[in-house]
Amino acid sequence: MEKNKKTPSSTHNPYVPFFAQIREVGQQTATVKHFRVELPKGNVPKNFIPGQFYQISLPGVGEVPISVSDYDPTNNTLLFCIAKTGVVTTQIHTLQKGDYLGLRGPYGNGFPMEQFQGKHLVLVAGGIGLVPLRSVIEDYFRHQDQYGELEILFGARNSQEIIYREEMKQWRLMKNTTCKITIDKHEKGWDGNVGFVCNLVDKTYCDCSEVLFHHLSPEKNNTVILIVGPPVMFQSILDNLSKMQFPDDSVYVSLENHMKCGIGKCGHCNCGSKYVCQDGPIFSWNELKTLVKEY
Amino acid sequence: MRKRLKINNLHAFLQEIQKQGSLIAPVKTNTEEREFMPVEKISQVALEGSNPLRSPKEYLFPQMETMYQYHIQKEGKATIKETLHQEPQIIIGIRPCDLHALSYAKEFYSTTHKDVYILERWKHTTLIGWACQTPLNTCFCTSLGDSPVDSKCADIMMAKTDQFYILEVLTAKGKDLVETVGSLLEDSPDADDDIIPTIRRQTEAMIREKVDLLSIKGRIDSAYSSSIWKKYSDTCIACGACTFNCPTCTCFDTADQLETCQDGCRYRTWDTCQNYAFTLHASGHNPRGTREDRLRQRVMHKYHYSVEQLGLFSCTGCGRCTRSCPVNIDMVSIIKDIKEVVSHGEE
Repeated sequence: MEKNKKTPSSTHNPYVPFFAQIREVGQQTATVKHFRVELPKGNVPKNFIPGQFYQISLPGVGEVPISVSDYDPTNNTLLFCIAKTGVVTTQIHTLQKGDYLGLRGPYGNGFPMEQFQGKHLVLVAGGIGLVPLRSVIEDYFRHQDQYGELEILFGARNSQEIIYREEMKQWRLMKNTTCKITIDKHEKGWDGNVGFVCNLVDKTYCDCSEVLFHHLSPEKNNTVILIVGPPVMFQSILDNLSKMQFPDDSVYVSLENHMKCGIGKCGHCNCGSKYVCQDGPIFSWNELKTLVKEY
Repeated sequence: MRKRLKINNLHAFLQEIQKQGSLIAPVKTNTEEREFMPVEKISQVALEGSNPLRSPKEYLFPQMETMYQYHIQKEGKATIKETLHQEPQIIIGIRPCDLHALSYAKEFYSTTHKDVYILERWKHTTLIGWACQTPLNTCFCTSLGDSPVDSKCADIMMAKTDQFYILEVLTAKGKDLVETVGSLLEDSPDADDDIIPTIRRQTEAMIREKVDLLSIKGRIDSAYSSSIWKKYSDTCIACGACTFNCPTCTCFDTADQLETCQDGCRYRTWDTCQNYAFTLHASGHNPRGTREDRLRQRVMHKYHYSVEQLGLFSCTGCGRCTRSCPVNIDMVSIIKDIKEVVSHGEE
């Protein structure tokens, strides 16, 4: 052994970010902005799967896990939609076109899109939960011939917190696509659906229920339901689906546990024997049943 | 290969191996406690005695370490300089429970995404184990199916007799080290074969508690809904001492620190699942919002989740959680209760 011998490491270091330039910034709501970033040449995500996430970092500030809203392979850009919540996301909100974001990823398993081929997709999103589901929506429109119909059921706290307004207008014009929005409480000037998105399955609360039943009753076995939102929301939906005896291998949920490393090492997202960042964040309902309820 | 080292030659042996890299050993501190520390004076080394309160884990997974330094350029882009530690080090005096812990940590940090910081340190570290002859009344390594003389991931395993030490050389790294001190060592005759088995018998007889956890390995999740978590968490003050002193706890937090407007580093520090904020979501939701949830997480991870993940208990029976707990929560009592609930159900 030779004391103080230093040799360069040839091992890939998964903790070190690369930098991508912001090409577009847009305001979605008062507290949510979207950022389209161009990945450096030669840095193409291997087999990006909708539902995956990146660790976004700002040197000097910190790092946060953010779901990918869309990966556009034609210009090698990623779309992120970020709510201003803590120190890092608040700082990200000050960035402009031309600034850089540090990235690591993509991480997580993503939705098993190949298993959804030929099936109808029902996407249920609560608030910012629509962000990871947008990557499913974009994938659906890129390969629409491979899937059945698409139903998007979105619940926001109030009309001011509705994200992707412009996109929804476009989605509604697409064939075989339905997009319904509900807000939690009645509001002056709002003539749409009112009620929690988790009550969709219950006809008495929200008109959207007909959308879900539209596919579920006749074609239970040919429909997959993807749910992203807080645990209280998806648990309520799962309870209702259980009553309907909906097959548990056709329902997928994204867990949003606190994460630091994104690669199953820091322990923060540990849930039973799983690390949500690595084994998830997407879990089928039957997988979820085997997990301890710590999500 | 097995060698003998005369008691009188220990000082010279340590002096020689210190030439090969930084020497970490149990060292007597001012408070008469023994701690694993870089050795400045060989005379401070105290290999004999009870296991130090802090394990040598921090020399492979430091309590706080810089992951990389950066210089922030225009528009927020940064140039990054990784800070991997590749200086050779030799850790001596590691009890079998701590070897077990390091072995678990290596397995954990090597799966899927490799943690290069720890694995690079590992590459440049030589581990010298020490057969335990002085268990404390908090020790319970035999409950996990381990023994006080297991060599696990050691490069060399050392044991003391009245007249000499024996050194079992177990790896190529160990052989390299032994070659540098060749003149101090003698071949160990066949008569020494019984030394380690004898130490094992004697030490095992001194271990106060044995709870056979192997017989319920893989079934401990059935205690998840038990009332035992509340029983113990009622007194827990969530200080995290149990996790910080645990040789197998691997959790960490990351943060940034700026030294100037443009220069700084990202570092990581040990973190504890006993902290409320450990699992707190940005939304305010907390999946483990009570001390009961968090105490259960710590215990279940040690005895069940890590078994499901890696097939290994992530407890080594070193008893440091019990030693360091300010409110006397005793891990042996917990595992006795777990065994009872798993074996016979709850009353």
